[in-house]
Amino acid sequence: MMKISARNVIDGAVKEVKKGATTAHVLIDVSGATLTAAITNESVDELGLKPGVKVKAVIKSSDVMIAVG
Amino acid sequence: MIEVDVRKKVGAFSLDVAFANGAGITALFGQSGSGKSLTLGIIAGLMKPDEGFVRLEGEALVDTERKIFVPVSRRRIGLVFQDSNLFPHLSVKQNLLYGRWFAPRGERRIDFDAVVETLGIGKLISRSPTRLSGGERQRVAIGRALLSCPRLLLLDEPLAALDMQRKLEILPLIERVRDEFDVPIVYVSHAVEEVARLAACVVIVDGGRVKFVGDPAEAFNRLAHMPATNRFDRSSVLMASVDETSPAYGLTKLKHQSGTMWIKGSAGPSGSLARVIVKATDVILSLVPPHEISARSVLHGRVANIQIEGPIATIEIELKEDGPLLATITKGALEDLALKRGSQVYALFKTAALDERSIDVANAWGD
Repeated sequence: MMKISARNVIDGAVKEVKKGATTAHVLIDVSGATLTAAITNESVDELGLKPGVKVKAVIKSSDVMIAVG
Repeated sequence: MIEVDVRKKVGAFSLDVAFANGAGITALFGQSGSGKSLTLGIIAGLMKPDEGFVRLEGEALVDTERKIFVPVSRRRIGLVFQDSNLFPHLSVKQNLLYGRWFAPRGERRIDFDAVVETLGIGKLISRSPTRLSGGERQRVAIGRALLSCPRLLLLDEPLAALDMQRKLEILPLIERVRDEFDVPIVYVSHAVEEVARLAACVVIVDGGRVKFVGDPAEAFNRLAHMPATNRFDRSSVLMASVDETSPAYGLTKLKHQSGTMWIKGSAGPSGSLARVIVKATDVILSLVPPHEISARSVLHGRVANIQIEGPIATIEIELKEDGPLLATITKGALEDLALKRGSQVYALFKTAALDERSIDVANAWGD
């Protein structure tokens, strides 16, 4: 993995790809939990994302919300 | 030309603002409680300043020294608020004509049909305002204000109560009003995206004082460096030219001197200039050219400045022939990547994260 500033890099596998008009929602299975990424349809095609493909989810820490309980 | 130079005390709050602008939209930008609505109220004549003047095309609307105070009803200013305030017992057409009634006969230069056409409200005309959506009501409110043939339009957070889809529908209509009817506009907002897209001149108001007057790109660069600015309000205004569209994916590729950006939708024919606002919190930095990652927009630049506040660092990246790009990252990431002034970095951001309000073909800045 290249060196980037984002602090969270999470290994997972694509569970489902839901394409919209321009944006696709990619559901990623992370040891049982599901992360959703909103990326362009073009990125889905370029990265060849489909169920089962191993991916890394990259999240900037400023985008993470925390709920307690 | 609008010229404002006023002072007023309200309780513990003191307002002292001065600015002037010629062509295009003047935006009063600031957080709630900054004094922007109070300024608007003084321009409209809803309240008197303790001291100072407001001039429109050289004519005083209020001038405390010369003891001039033109009452609201004679100022000929069109007002649109967040809440459209349409008369519920009148039809859309009657609401529009009510505005017209305020224009002196000899000065009804704005045509009824042209307004209805521009705002796309032809089909609504016989309806009752109570049966309109929020977006439709705001269109009618803008039409009513326009048809009073005002010498100035004051728009106070006109999109604030609408959802994103409605905002995206009405923004271009405000641009058309700006371009097709020769009426100066003062636009009050705390939304960076709207202000950057519409305004020729941005007046940043904070704590009752003017912090900056000038063009949007410079305004938001300045804003990013103000200590009081919340990091989520730090944004960069980038200019790029349309390279190619990818209709199959509904995307447009923009060419920047420092790299490539992708935006949703269309931004005009190849070669047209487009302006994109990128939130600093949406930018990821990489030391190597990124590959095999879904983020599509990559700009290469040099770290010009690093500002550290607690655990967060704001990195200013110098680009070719454009203002700097700001990225907020953690101090941990800063140390991990060993970034310092002069470091070469690749800045990447997601197309899906760009706010569609903030993307526009660059014709809005009074040129």
